Amino acid sequence: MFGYVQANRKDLSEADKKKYKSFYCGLCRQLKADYKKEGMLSLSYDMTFLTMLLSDLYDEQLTKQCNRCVIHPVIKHECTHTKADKYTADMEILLTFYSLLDHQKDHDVNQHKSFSKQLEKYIPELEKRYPKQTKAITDNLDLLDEGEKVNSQEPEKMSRYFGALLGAIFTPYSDNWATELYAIGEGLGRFIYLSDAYIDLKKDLKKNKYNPFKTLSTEDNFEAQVMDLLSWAAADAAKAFEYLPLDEHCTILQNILYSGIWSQIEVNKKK
Amino acid sequence: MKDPYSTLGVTPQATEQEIKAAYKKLAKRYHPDVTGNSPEAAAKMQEINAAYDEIMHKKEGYDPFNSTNSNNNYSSEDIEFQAAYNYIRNHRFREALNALSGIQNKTAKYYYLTAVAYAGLNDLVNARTNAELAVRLEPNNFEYQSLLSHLANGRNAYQTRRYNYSPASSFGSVCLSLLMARLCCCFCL
Repeated sequence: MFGYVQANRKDLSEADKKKYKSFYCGLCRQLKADYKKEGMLSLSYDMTFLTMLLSDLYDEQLTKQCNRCVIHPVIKHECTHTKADKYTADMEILLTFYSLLDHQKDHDVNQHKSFSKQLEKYIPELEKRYPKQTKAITDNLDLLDEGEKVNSQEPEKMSRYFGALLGAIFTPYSDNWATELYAIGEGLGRFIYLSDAYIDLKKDLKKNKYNPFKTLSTEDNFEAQVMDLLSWAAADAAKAFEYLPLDEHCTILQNILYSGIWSQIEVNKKK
Repeated sequence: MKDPYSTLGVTPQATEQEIKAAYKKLAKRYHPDVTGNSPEAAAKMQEINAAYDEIMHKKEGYDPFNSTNSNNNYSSEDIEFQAAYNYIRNHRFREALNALSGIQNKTAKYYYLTAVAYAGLNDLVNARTNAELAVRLEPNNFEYQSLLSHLANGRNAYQTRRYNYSPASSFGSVCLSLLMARLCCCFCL
């Protein structure tokens, strides 16, 4: 959905690469089973992170399968299923639907209209099952819209709305781990929002579109200030992560948190 | 309450890794998938979770108002903060914030306590903002400074670990690119 929360593959062992991919494939299959083709189109690595995090934390049973799929029609590959797939697949659909809607509203375009139409039929049921998450998504997208309308130049404040949105997505249960899971989602949410705004800045300036960094970007130490905000966001997520008792997918999850999430920023810097 | 270390079966000197491993071993033993939602197992899980929290909080090393802290005797001027202190000491951070919200006089101490409560709730953005305000109002207060630097620890640790990885700048995921191709195709249909 955002594509920021993924691994730095150069630093993953072969075994971990295979494992990471098998969780991705597992989520894809779950999306296909529950939401058909529309589901598969919503697939993202961001939610693979959440799947692996939840499955490790709650010691969920893993079921492994070996099969071919539409995307990998030739080679048989491993595919891991876990209880968390169901939840993350549902979240993927909710998030995709509302961001498409928001995008259409903001830009007054009919882009992806057919896609959001296809997803629409699943939404009432999901809203009923996940009232907390739905409210967090719609409320915070509204707050972001309001900020955009008044041309808010407070990037951190804006990023916190997206943090609150993702924080809610990261907490399926209100149990002992809800505070930490929320904090991981919150930090990553801020990171995603800030990265996105930073990467889009040039484009937005050219097209005269909203961007929370416009004012800040006129300052001399702009780059350093952005990196500072990003580091705080990532570090806050990592701190909550390190608190949790995780043992199965730690190397992959840490690779994502400490390194992978910076991929797009670093690619952008090279341009 | 039972000693948290014996609940998890570790010594007070155990590393974070050992604590997590011990927790996981017990959590798997009392997992609902294994015990079939028995109430005894659920009660045991609660005890294990509480022990884990207690030990991990101690490991973090920053607990400004724990009972052994000698700085605990606050003078009468702190009377209005007493409720907040007590809540924080008992790790009831939401109630602490609630108690603080009724205070009109926003002194450095007010911001400091607010920061501590937010830190306890893992809301580190608000914790930092308030700690900075406390330090700005009373730059020479050691307690406030040490809170602020404690809050920066997480970030320094993060940066150190981040630079242990190679620069994350290539994607090259065939899986993803094929999916994107498929995505485009679908929109064309």
